[in-house]
Amino acid sequence: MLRAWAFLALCVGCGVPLRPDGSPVEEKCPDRARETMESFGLRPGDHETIYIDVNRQERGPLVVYDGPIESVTWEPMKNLPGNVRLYGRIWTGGPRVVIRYYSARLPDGKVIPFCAMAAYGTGLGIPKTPGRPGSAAVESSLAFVSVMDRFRAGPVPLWDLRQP
Amino acid sequence: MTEPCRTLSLPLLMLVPLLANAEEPGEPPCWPENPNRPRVVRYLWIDRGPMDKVVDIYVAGGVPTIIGLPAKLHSRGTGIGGGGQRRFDVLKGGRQILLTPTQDLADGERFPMWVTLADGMVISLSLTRAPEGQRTDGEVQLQRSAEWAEVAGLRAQLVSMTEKAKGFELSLQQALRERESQQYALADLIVRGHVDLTSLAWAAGREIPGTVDGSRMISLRTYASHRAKEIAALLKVENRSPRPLDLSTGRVYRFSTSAAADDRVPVALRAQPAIVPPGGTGHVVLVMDREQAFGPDSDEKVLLHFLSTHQGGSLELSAELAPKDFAIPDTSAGSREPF
Repeated sequence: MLRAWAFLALCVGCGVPLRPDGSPVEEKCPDRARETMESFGLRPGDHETIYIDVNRQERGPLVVYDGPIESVTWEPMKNLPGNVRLYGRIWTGGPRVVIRYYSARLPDGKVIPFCAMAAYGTGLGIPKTPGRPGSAAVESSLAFVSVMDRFRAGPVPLWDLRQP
Repeated sequence: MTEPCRTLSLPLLMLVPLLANAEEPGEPPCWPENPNRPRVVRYLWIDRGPMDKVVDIYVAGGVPTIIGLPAKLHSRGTGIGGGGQRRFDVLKGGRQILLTPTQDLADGERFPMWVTLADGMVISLSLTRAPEGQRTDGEVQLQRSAEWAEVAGLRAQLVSMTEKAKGFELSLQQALRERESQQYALADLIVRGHVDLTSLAWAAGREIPGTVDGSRMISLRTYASHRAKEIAALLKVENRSPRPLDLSTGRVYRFSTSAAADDRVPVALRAQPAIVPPGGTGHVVLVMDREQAFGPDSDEKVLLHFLSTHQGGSLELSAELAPKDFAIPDTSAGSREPF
């Protein structure tokens, strides 16, 4: 089961078409992600601090690359415990670095479908300093993960993620 | 008797009457009364506590009088009034005062003197000429009585209880203010992770520099609303330093970019826990009024300071917050660009 979800996390997002600005287009959440997250009390707009790269938890700038990423939450998020590994994919080609998370591994090893995006500053995505093709530098190893009802595209202010 | 022996014994025989008349301590038996001749020691008990009783000290011109004190002297609170400064040579130090009048005092002439002890006790003395039948004081030892000690103890207890009562009253007033404050209610909800129950929405999130050595990781999240004038900042601090961090010391100061005057901004602060131990994580929420923080035109900035409570109040953390951290998109203008 774990292998299956890890495989899915690596593959999901591989074939997402890009917008003209290089960022990925809108996308549906993985199957059963919303119901699973609701079972932890999570609703779209809920957010928590994460380390973008589980292997780089020192303070400071970070270079990220297109492709799979493993992030980790800092603390509990509603009923989701802290120290949850988030599996997703990075796109560095757009105006901001976009990170979408498709699955999460709980501290007890259980893997669940997940639907969330990284955020920083005042909007979804992370401000970047362009680097070599397929990579970008971000100013902090910290960011935020925001629960989504769908993977949104383009500039989205955090304000728009507020609860109805 | 040989000649040398007779020569030696004569002065000795002449000394015998003199030795017989020498003064015995306390009671000179046969000398004529001389009121200026000092007695050896007079003990005076301070019975009722400070300022309750004026003690007479008998002094005479050119005769030194030692005043022994029950505790160390506070030199600045000790002196002679009534123009007596010019009439007395005074030496002060430790637990003694040495007084020497430069001339005799007239009958009925008195000079007030105040002696302040290091523990705050004030003793009132009156310097005067010895009345008939009394002698000039050579040494006076002032001592506290058991009654005084009891009164002083009760007084100290009363002061301590009054201070405690004042502290409780201030705490109660603060608690009542907080209970009726909307800002504290918001801070309570946010620090417990229930921002979704408030009218505020997530406006921005970023890392803020905590310390130069990177021993504190701080993520800042801000919340704002179209409907409410309040704004909130939530800081999550990971304390990687070996020192505890007291989040309850948070203060917000407004500073104008055009003026130098600093101004403290009233905030409702809630921290959980109040003190973050080394290796621990803490949250602190500051709810404030947007206009009080950034001015009516939202063109100012605020500084957020956390002071240390264990190292003499040094600055532990500092962060700058700007209006853009609490920006609300202007949806009416159709702008969707958050970046």
